[in-house]
Amino acid sequence: MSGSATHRKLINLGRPAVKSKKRDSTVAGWVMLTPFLLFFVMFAIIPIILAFKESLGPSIQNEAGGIKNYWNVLHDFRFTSAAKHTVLFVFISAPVMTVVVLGLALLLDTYRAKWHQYIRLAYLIPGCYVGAAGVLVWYGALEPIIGPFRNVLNFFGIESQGQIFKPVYLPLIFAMMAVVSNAGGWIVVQFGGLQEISDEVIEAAKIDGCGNFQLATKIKLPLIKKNVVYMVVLVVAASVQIFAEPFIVNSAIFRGVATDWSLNQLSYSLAFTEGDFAGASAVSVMLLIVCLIAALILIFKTKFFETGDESK
Amino acid sequence: MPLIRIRLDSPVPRVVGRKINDFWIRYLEGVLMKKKLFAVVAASVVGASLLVPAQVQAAAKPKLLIWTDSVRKPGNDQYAKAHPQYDIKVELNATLISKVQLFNRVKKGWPDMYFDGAPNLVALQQSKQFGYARDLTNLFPASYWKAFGTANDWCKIDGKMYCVKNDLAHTVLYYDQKLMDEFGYKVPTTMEEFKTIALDMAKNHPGYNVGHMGNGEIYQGWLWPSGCPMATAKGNKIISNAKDPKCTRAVTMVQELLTAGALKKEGSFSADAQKDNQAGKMLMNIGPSWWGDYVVKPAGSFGVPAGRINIAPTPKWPGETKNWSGAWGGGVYMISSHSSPANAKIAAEMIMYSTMDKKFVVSADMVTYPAFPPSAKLWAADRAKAGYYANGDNAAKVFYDSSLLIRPNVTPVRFNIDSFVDAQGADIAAGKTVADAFAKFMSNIESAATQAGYEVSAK
Repeated sequence: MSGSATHRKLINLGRPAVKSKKRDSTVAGWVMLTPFLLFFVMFAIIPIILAFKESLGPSIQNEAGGIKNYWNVLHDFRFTSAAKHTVLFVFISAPVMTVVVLGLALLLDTYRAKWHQYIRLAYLIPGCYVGAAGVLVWYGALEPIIGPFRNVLNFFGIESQGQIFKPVYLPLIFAMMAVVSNAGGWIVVQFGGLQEISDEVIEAAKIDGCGNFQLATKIKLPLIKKNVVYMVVLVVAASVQIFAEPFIVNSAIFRGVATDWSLNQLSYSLAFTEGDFAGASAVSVMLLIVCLIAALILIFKTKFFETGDESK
Repeated sequence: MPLIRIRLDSPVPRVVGRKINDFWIRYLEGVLMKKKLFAVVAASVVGASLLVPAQVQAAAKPKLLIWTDSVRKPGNDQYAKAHPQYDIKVELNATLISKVQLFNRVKKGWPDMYFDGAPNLVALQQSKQFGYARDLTNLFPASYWKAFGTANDWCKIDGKMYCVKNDLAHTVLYYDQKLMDEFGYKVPTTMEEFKTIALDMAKNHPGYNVGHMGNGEIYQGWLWPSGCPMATAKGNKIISNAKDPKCTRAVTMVQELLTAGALKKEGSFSADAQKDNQAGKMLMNIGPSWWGDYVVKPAGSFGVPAGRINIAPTPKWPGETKNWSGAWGGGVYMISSHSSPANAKIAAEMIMYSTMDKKFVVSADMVTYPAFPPSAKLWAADRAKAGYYANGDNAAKVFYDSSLLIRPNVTPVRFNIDSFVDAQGADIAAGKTVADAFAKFMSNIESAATQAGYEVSAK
């Protein structure tokens, strides 16, 4: 987008002759998009290109570089278990997140109580402590000896930390951490989407004898389908890249229980404890490709970018 | 004020200009011809007088960047303050392993001296792809290395010294004298005696413990002193043999004691261990030299009151002649291979100060057991007087003797073995059998060593 084109467009706007509404909105669109585009190019496009280049560079195992780096990373002794953990985590956290978020948003929309906005605020509060703070809050909550819920945990026979932070429970624990922190923000977004449904449609459905549950599942959900797809794409992308929760649990809470547990942790280890930037970039590029494919499938299958009558 | 417009297209200014030009050329020719020599001499004198002080200044104020940790910083600050002729910047930074690759790319930014609390990393720092650790063999006087004896052998790679060990974290046997007397046990000198006491304690005095295994304690307190070949580097070969009897005997004994309840599967830093040992349930514990000050004594940790704890050498395994110890830590100083020789010399002096200065090594700032043997003697004598251990003089002697017996079957390796040690501990804490946890540990070592370019063999 060159400066002279904008200039021409602005000059065109100044002419008292034919004022095109489309031109107005095009300029406005570009003006609003430019700051994002700037950051997108600087912090997404350029790093992606650099990562591609880096992943083909020389590495410790493979001085010559090239596509063999991907092969070496795939055969890294930690790759298979990290991939298994990551996939398991995505398959637990993404559906749970979707169900929880949509369920609570629909409930919020259906039952309008007097303290409605305070409930919305309450949903947002867990989102305030993210990353390290969130993990530590959960560590405190799950501690059976000195934590505030120790009586509850002891009642269920849990008396030592090792009974909770077992390798087999880790995907569940991390999923819990991720869902609780991030659900609040998404609930607000989906609730906003639900407000856009026109009242006439709801009334018509009610007149036709729709119960609340049918209203939610058969009328409202299909109408906010695009919002749901948007959320699923972002949640899956974030889950595939899980790093903070296992990393902090592994370094601060229970050393060694989640070493190189997720693929992103493996990438970190490759880069920063082995100096293998090519391998780390290869892992990152593979994660990117997986997320892109998932996003593209969802977008094209649900015809996400089709504009038209929204309420159909 | 109106601008004076010079119209260059009129004849008068051109002529005047040319005349001025000619005059200057003739003047300068004349002047310079006559006074050329004088001018040259004058210029060179002026120039030299400007240059020389700058060079003298540059030589007088070498700039050093030191990265260190919070425990070592007071010592480095002391040296910097006492030597204002050097411009030494001491920063708290422990991330060299991740930053050095970035510095290698931009070819600048390396700290001249670095303290690493994870001594295994010297192998990576010295390796070709990291290339940070400088060869220190000729940088320090020969008498320094001689006084070190074998205490700095950890830093010897291919016969050259690549780091200086600042402190040693050798294992000793901590025991509660009061409980031992109460239960009628004699201090064990062999691992068989240790096992007998532990099993008896588990049967007759349940609730007490002889150690916790969930934070990787099995590595430095059991496998290492037993001589198990886990990852012994010999040139580009790694000797690793899970079936060696020196390994299986440690694994078997730990499993037996865990099953009997004498050893606990939670880690020493877990809340469970805290709860137990704050109630005074620690009978014995094979732990490193910093265990007393950082784990057994503090109220926030085990909180055992003064006068109850004594130490003895790590018990001997059957067939061994010496009371070998393992080690848990023991930080090292490294000097950058990219520093100028002058800076490297200054960094070497700083290291010698931190390891040798008689006042510093017994000050409150020297909190860990010094690696340099003459300093260690002073330190141990000073701490014996401090009165935490029931028998202070004996404690000083045990600390010193054990420090010379760190078993050489563990050497720095070019992969992150510390994370496998932690994972092994976490596996035991999660309830896996010791044999399974150990098998996974050794398989991790084999895979990582192969990936790092070593040749792995059992002999």
